[in-house]
Amino acid sequence: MRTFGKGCEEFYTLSSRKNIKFLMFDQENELPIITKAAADDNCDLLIEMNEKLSGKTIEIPADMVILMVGTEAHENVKDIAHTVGISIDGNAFFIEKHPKLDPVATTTNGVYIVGTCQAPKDIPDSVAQAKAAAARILATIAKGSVTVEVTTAFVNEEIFNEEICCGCQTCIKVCPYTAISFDAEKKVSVVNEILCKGCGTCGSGCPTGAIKCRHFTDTQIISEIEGLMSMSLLMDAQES
Amino acid sequence: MSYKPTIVAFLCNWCSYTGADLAGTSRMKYSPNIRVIRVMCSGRVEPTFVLKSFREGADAVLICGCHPGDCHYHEGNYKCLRRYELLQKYIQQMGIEKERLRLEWVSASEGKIFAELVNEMTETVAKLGPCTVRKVMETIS
Repeated sequence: MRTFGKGCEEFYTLSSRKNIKFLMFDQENELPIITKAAADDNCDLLIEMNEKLSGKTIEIPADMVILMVGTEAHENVKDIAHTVGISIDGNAFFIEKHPKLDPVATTTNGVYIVGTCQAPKDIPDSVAQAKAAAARILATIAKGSVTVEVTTAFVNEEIFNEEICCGCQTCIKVCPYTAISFDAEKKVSVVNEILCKGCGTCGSGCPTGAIKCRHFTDTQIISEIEGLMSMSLLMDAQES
Repeated sequence: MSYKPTIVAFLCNWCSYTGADLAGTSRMKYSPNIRVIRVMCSGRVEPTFVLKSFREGADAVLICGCHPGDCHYHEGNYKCLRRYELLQKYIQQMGIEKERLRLEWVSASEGKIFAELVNEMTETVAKLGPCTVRKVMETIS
């Protein structure tokens, strides 16, 4: 058994010497049986268990039994993740933007994660992370301006263009960042370019082509296809 | 002269394009029949792009995205998967064999897998022969 963090190993050794026993059991196998000790046993309780580390069945006396359970993520975690547009891992804990380079930010701008929502943590770690998040937020505010992605999407509203938004709101449904909203007055979708990360999935979903993704517009990609294919055909013709 | 197929590949910027780049920087040799188009996310790949590629004379289309759960944009690859399933049905009705359109997950570290994938796909498509869609379309119009 190992502990993590500064001074915890010493604390563990100290506790072990004071007759505190840390025992692990396998949740899948048979669970420990705790019984009231008989009068001549000189203790309150008896524990009979299959100890995981030694693999042996042991019986030990005890005066007090504390059951330590593993930390689980909250059951509503998926709803929260979906609402704010951040990711969760296999154990339903939130994922940071980058484990080393950006450990408190998430893939959604302005959303930060702190404490046990990210992983099981103790109080000092949670406090340290909270301070880190506060500093991270201040660094963003102190800059005075927000740098947006280059490849954001935008809705074409110009009347002379035939590819005009028909207000079907497909883009709103597919956007993973809730960056698109509906302008009820104009009956068109509006992209919040600060929230948009430029994945372009709205552009693929748009039936009229009114929503455009900067640097990856339909016209640009189709021109790429045409260019590449005409080159291939030319090369084939030259060879034969 | 042996027949050389042309494959148009749509690679997502974060995983597959980097994976293809890795294949290059690690100096892996793979078949030169592939024509790469970079998109920010496999979710950006419109069915139109795939059909346009076939229309312009591509013999096959390959779409590569991040592995499920690894998408840089959370779920773009799932959206691509949904469009791909529909598109598979559609192209078969147009007389294009289903082997000519593939969706594969390639991560940024899978340069070797990418190289093998391109080789394997080139071989499969070479066996099928040229895609006739372009010629048929030209005859009609």
